[in-house]
Amino acid sequence: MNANTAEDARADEDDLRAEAHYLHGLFFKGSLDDEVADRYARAHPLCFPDDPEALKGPAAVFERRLDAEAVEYVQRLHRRSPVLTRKIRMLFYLLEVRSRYYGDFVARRSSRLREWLGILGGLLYSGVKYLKGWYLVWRHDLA
Amino acid sequence: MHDAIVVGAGPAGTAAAYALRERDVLVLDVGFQPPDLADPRKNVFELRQSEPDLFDFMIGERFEALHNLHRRPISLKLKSPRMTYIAREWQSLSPLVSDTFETTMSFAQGGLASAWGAGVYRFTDRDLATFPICAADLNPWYDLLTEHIGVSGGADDLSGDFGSTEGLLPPMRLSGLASDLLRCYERRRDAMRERGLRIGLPRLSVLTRPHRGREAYRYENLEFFRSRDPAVYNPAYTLNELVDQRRVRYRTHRLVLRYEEHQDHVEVVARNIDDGVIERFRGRQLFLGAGTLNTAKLVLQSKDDHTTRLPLLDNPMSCIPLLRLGRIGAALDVYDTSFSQLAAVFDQGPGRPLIQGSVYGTTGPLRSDVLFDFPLALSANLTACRALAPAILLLMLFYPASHAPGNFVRLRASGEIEVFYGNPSLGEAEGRIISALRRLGFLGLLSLCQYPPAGTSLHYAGTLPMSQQPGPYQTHTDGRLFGSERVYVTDGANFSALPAKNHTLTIMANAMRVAAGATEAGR
Repeated sequence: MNANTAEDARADEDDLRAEAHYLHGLFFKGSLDDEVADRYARAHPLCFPDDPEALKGPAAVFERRLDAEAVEYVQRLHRRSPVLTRKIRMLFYLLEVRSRYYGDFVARRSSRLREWLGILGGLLYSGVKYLKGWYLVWRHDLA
Repeated sequence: MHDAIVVGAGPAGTAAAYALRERDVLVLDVGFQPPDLADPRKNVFELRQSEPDLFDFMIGERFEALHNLHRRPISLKLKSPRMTYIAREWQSLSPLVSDTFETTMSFAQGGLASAWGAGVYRFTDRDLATFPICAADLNPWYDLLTEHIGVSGGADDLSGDFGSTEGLLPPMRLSGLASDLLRCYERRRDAMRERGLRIGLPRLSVLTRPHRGREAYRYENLEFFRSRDPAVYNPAYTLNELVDQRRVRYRTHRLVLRYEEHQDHVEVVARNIDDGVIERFRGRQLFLGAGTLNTAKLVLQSKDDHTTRLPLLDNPMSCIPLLRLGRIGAALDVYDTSFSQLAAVFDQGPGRPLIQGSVYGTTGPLRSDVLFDFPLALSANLTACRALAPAILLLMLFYPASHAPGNFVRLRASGEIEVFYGNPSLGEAEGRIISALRRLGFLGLLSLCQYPPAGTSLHYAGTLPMSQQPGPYQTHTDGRLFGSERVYVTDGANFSALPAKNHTLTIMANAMRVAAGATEAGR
């Protein structure tokens, strides 16, 4: 690897780490451990082999600090580019196996009223995210 | 020269070797082994709360668990880091081309039974109606296997469908949700039976008490991550026992390529996958147990036949999610299992085949495996997943396979197996089952049913079917290949039909029957 290529690779990895921190902030409280951000960066060559074109759309989402959750929701529902979904899913996998995030994925105790309200709230929330995502996809040509 | 050579060490090869154990037996197998790492002995939820980071165990240093994000999806069990050995290198060892058939093969010791659901069901005379053998031919071997591997289950409405309850270990403990379903069914049993639906306990090769030196199941729910649990039967246990007792010789890393039959022996040609060296082994009899597809390939390869199209049977499948509203937000069953909680049989009436189902909970896999299938924004999906996990059951339905002239297996001149398999149209039975289960308080929607593509069941059979009057590429009732004196087929390849039941126990029982019969014939 020559000096420029090594430098580019490092810069790409830094971008991916920043991306992981940004995505983490959308869904979870607190800051992301650097170890997970490193893993997120290391998993990319495996999950996106030789596919630089596919990464352009999501890159625009991160550069412009758009609401990635809203964009991903619209893209997932309409079965459009799966790249953003795949990136977020990759991060979720890496987080789910850490005890700190156990409560985000598994209910620790029975709380029927809270969960019912959570589901109803989630339906409204999803409606809002869908409209926002649809607008962002149209406005920034992310289809 | 050996008395017998067995190809493969999955359920069929191992069962054949067991029945041949009094003779000089050589088992040839690729035989990949699980990683030599100690598995955690703790409940999955305790583990996830107490261990700060389970990356190595659940994701893997090479990100094995992310497999389905970037490659053709495989069973969730096969992608966790300690399970990847099961499907290791199968595409290069036995390449298969198909646009219509989604398969996974295994060259691991124990075969795909290293990641199975452990369902073990006897075929009844109704199941064997188009076979040239009957249940009485298999029953002694079913009985022997029930004792040997340890089968849990019980007497209930499904006893008529699943055969003798003699020798069963006590049933596994049910989750709260599965208990709800069984209780509701028992209350409305007559109405359900009128609709053709019967529900009861599954038969599982999972020990509910210590048995033959193996410990009882501990409800740690690690089936998706742990390579081997002593409580869950794996053919490797039997084979290793036979090897330890010096009853059989086991040569691994040998990929059998073909055989040549001579007047007084069979010569088996195998490639050592480590150094590529071609080796030859001689035996008086040969028992093929490499799996339905690979056994067919071996036979075609040995005859240098690249034109004949062999038949193939595969159980079509569907998956119905069922929601119990009253359990939304309930406490999760932590000490649970990923094995089938209940079994169901849907009887469509006289002259129509039975459909069999298995009911599973959803506590086993990682949430990230399913979270993105929910139709909400991701934050809402996280909430929904937490709330719904204790309230959702999955009913996996297996249909009997039917012969269709268009479905075939062929060996290409390039050495690849070519498969064509048409996807049947399903949905009618699902609608009727959903309607029946709704009356029990379990909600399902036809639009949420999933219909995995052909091949996904991994239940294959019938490439070299048994017949009373066999022809080319068929087998005699004793498992002997037509036109051969010394070659026997012991796996699903020799099934004449494929009912809706998991066929592993029958593969093993029939392999024992074939091997024992061949021993008699060889004397």
